Amino acid sequence: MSRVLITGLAPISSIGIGREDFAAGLAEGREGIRPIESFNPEAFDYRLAAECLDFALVDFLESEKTYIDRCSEFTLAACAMAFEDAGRKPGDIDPERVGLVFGTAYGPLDTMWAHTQRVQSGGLRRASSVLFLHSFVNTPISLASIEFDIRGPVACFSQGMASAGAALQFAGDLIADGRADLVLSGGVDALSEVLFAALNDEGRLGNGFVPGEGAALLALQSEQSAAAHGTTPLAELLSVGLATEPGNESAALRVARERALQGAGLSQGEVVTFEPPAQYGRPFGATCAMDLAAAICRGLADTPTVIAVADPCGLACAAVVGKP
Amino acid sequence: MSAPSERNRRRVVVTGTGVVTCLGTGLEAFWQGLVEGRSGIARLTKFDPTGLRNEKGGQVRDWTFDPSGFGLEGPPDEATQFLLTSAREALDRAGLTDHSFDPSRAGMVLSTNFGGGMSWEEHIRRRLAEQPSNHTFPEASFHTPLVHLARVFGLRGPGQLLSVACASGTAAIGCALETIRHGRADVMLAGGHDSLTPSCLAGLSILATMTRDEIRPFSADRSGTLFGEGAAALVIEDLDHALARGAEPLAEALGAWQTNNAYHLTAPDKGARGMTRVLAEAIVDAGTEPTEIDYVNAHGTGTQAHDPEETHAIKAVLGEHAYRVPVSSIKAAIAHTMGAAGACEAVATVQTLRTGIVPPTLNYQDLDPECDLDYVPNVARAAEVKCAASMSAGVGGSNACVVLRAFPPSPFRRGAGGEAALLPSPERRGVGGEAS
Repeated sequence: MSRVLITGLAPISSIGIGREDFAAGLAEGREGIRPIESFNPEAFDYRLAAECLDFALVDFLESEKTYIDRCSEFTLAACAMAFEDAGRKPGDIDPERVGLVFGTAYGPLDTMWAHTQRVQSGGLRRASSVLFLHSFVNTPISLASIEFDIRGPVACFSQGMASAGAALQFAGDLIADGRADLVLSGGVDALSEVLFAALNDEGRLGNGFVPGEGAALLALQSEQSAAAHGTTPLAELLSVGLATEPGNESAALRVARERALQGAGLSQGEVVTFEPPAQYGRPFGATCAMDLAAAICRGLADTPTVIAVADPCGLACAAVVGKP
Repeated sequence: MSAPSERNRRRVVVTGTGVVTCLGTGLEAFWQGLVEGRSGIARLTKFDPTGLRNEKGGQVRDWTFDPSGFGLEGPPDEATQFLLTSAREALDRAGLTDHSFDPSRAGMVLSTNFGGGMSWEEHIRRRLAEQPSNHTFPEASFHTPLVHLARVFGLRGPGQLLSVACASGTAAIGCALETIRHGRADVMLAGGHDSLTPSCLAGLSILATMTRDEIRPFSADRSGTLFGEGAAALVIEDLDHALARGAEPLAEALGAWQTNNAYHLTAPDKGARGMTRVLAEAIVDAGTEPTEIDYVNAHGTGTQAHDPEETHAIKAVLGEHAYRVPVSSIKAAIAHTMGAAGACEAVATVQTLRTGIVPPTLNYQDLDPECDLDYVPNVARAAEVKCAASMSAGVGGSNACVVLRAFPPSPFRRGAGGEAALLPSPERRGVGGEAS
């Protein structure tokens, strides 16, 4: 069984895009939370968010896409960055030994809305095949698997704020068990008026919760694969724990943390807890991976670090990461 | 991330199954319908289907759901209702509805294509009418069934919801298997669910995959698939845990795998690389050999493009043995139930392992030279099935496969009672002879 090494980071956030820029944003204390610019928020009482205003897919891909949801844009860009940050190119490693496992709370929500609204307003014959095919929650990872020729296990997990944690657990197992040599894993979500309105209806805006957006992807490699390519790991993913405690966010956090520590064979006294900065908001399904990236960019302590994230509905994840 | 000995040591079994499809609610309706060669596909009535490429589908008929029966204050989304119903049946058959288990060691992996689709439609209608609700978006959200099932059944172990389009249900079983192998849970509920909605069917209709006629998997005159709704759930359990509590294993979950074609959002890859590899790797993961596979429950959508590629994959992995193995698709009976399909098909495969009856491929008419295997045309058949593979594929190039084995490795245990009692009499089921 292999250790699970983190050999690349690909954050797309309101405070920086790419490992170096993100680390600089953290170090400089850049403020990513601002009045909303990507849509008119006048209909809402709460009008702040951490948007990725500097992001453009064209900076990451050679070819232009005729139609693509913002969630898929983040995913494609993060994959490109993760390969590069890990010092790998698509095709360097047997494509059948490369996996892609993402978490997303809402997926391509804007395209889901556009597709459904078009059908509701125009009738069943009015569906657009382009909108429909780009509206699946697994569309972002499917597009990325085609773009980067990823033919190993490709999966999408959707469990609210804990989405990236679920993805990382599955991805870590693939590496640990020798079922893949390289897995790109993390989370993604895009902010939009559609999502903002839904969260407003739910009463989730305000009260200290600041919505964010973006993606955070980790390149996970086996020891053997990293060594074969002379890759210096940034960190080691020791364990991920998941919890479901309906309606009890704090209990879910506690249980996820206990399970993560148990998986790593560590006690409470043997770890430090990462306190995520408020700068980049809470980017929904990407949150756990973004916090992991932030912890690594800030510099890990000698003792392992725990990152824990919970959704108000009672789903939670916790990851333990250590120096390689 | 977990000790290797822990992962490899554990044997994993299926101890309960439940299902809701257009053939009816419950395993008995499902299995009897399959064995008797009935199809539940008919003109849709849950909404006006005028304008769809085909107005028929596998709709769950006469559906009623009492939230109070599940301890819920109000009705959840329709797809979640299907899931709750199938999950309760699976847990009940496994003897786990009395909460006589450690809830922290019982988790779930759920799967879906479209989540709470009916609630999503309602959410948009209400928003556009400026009558927003604080209920519709949470019910539409993919993760909400995890919360409902945890609350209703006390499943407080690891909970995951995955979506890889129409391979979701099979992938969920594989994920549940891995969770137990890694020692994170003793019991996992693996399930798939989806409901037919106007917008999902309008989207599927615009794709050329939907037939204007009947669904005829593997038949030369096939012209596309038809879609359905429902849910299926399987209780996946550590063997030692099951035996210690006196549960009867229904089948052993030997292995599973997932791949992606990395080729096209809808078209299968040329040469069926992805499907070939997923079947081959699942058999390796199962620790068995291709020649030990006695039955393949195929994805078998009935599209011109898919069926020959799946056939090619089966032949590539099983070699000449492929011609001796019955291969069938149940989609002409229950339609393509999307995120639930893989779970429904795994339930059917468990039944085949338990009863020695292979469900037929309905509407099969003419041999296609590119689809030249034994597809068990139109009539169920008795066959000695000790080990079986269930395959799925989906939009986005997803492939998943699970390998199941009879437990104990003898399929003919009809005197054992329990679910074997569900087997209809030979007169009713119209069963043919042994597989040739």
